[in-house]
Amino acid sequence: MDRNEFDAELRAVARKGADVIRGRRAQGAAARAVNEALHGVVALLLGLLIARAAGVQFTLMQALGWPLAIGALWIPIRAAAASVHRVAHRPSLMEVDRQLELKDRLTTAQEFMGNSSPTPFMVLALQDARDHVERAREATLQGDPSSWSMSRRERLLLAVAVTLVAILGYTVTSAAASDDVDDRAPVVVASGDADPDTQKPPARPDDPTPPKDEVKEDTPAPQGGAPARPSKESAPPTREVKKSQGKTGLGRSADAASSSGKGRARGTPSSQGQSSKSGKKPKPKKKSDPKKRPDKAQEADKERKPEEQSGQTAGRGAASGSNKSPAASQWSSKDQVTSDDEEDLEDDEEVDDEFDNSDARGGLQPALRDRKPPVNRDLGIGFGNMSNPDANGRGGPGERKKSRGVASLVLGVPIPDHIKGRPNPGKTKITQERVEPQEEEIAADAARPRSPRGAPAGHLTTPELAPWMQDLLRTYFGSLRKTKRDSP
Amino acid sequence: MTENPTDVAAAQQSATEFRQVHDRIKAEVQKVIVGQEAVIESALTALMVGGHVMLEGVPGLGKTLLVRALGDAVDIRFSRIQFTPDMMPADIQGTNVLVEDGEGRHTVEFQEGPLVANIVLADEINRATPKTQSALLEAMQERQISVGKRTIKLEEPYCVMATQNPVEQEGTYPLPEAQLDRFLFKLLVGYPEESEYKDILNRTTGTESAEVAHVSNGDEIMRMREVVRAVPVPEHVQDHAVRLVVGTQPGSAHASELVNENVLLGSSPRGAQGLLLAGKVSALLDGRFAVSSDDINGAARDVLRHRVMINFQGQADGVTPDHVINSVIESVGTPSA
Repeated sequence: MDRNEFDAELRAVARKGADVIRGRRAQGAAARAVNEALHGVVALLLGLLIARAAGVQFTLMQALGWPLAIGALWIPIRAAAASVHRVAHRPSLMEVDRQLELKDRLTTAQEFMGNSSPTPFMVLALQDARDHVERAREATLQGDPSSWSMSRRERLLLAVAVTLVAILGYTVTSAAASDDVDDRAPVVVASGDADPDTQKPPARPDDPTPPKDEVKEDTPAPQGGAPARPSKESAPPTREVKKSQGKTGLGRSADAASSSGKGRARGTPSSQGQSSKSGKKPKPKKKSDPKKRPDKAQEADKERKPEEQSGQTAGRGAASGSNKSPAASQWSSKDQVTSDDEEDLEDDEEVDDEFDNSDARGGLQPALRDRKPPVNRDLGIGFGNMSNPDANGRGGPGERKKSRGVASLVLGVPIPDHIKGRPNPGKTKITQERVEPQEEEIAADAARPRSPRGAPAGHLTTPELAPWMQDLLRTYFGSLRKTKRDSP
Repeated sequence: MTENPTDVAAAQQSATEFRQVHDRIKAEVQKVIVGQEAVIESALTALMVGGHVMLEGVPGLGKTLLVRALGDAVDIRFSRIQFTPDMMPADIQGTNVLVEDGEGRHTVEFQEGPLVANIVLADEINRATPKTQSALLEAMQERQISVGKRTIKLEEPYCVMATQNPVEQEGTYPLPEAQLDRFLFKLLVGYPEESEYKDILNRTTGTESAEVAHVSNGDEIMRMREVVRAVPVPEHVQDHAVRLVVGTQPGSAHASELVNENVLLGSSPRGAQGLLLAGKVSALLDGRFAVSSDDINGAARDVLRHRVMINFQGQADGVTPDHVINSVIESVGTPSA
């Protein structure tokens, strides 16, 4: 076998190896294409769903046909594109060497063939490769035995795609069914004396589902032009209702009823606000459906803003204005919602439970109940001749008593709770006494065998290791013991 | 392509001779050593390429006997140094001593230490102090000894075969990395197989004792070294060896996750040199005339084991250098498409 013939043989063998590599590349590309196709199908389906929601009309076959066709075509296209790339001789021969266990003989020969001045050992290596190239030509190479399997992400994408297909199919088929119903609707309407508003759907046949706002607004219209207050029998008490109950004393606990005039001051503006707001929106759903709390809470916040503004002018601000602690006012100025919640905390515990959780804020803020203003330590008399209702010798309104000792007994004398600095320890005096050693009678202890200690050793003053060092040592000795167990 | 048939035939003849010499020495060593074939092969490989060997194993496994048998099989100067903590560099390198001549006059003469030999058995090398261990550095790398103003060139073939016991670490001085790096191989001598025990007992407890004859000499060993150096290494195999060495270095491009987390220090370029030299011997013994990536992989553990330092986390997790090297071989893989 001369040089050219050997070169041709090597090329032929390299082509076989290249086919295997191309097949592996195509397999890999197909696996990647499945992933990409799943992404594409999901994106297309989402787009179709959005288009459907926007009112674009298409059939189920149109909806599913394109995504599935594109997804199915993408896989062979990618596989074909990956397999058309040229494979160099060296990796091809490496593949043959690897499969036939030729110890790199063919790859080495291909490299040494290009050497213009080969050493004797290179020539010997080429001769050695010639003996094996025949076997390589006749051998059948195997493809990559590793089978393709879907990853977790791809399985998830597939599940999403299937779900989207189901949703899209349901949407399209249900829309088709509603189209059929709408087609029959004008006949029914035309047979009776219906409100002109109810004839809107036939006027717009391409919009089978009118917007929800229209439906909501249209429903109460026949009941009367003026906004009606919901009946008390059918709805649970709302915030405003509870505040009005506070005015009369009904529905409040004895503690609440015996509180200062603050509660009375609040009762009046709340009843005003109730009459102005009840026409806007029915309230009873607030208590009956606590799961809808976030939306309702936002609505309630919106409603309470004007109420709060009006309520402050109507006398509610008088009670809160008595608190002249700068810290308290600072907190309330920092976060209006906090002060609002604080008032709710005093007013109604049930409503607070709904308002106070962090779900009302989308979980973005900590529980607002915890953000109370600091305890009012103001023990002053009040404004001018007006007595301070909070200056009752306690550490703050409604809180535990903070001052101690005589200062807590003397009203209006602000004395700090603790003494800053430390008392003078005084001089250290050391007294030395001379004591003569005295003899003591002690019986000699006879030597005897002692048993091992049974009682615990007691507290050992060894330095405590850091937790991570303890874990490290535990792992280390655990692995040591495991190694000892495993070793014969 | 110009090829001289005479040269090619001579190369083939030298390759055949290499295998014959190797097999002769191995057979002679196996007269006294039962089993441990891989260790014998690696020790012979180190002798053929001019490398040094560190043998590690518990007492009683024949480490010293193996090196002694190797020294006996090859007709070269063999010396044994039993390292102790009180040994000084002058004890192994040599020193000036006062000598009295026949006329009663005293002169100072330099007396060579046991380091001046062809095969030096450094028994329990980790029992010597770092000062004495460092005295070996120059001999191992430069093949010379400097004592005072005197520099002694060591005669080739020169090979240091050291042993150490991995369990008795009290009162020992672990070898510094600079010295460990100078060993071509670190061979782990394990317990013999159960089937080999009977043979060991028969050979060692009977009346007859096997004697190792000289089957080779220093000149032949040097000739074989030239044969080994002539074996070509293809480019892709060089790349593979480099990737293996770089793969042991944490933070490098080929380092696996295991390496990055558990390795403190990776192999130096000496590791790549050792891989290629060991691969050349492996190829010749396999009847091939060029190194393959399988030869490199086969030598990787012995060559890189002592060049990979495990960090504290890896030691606590029970990660050994062999685990690291296996993971590097797996991650780097055989060069292919």
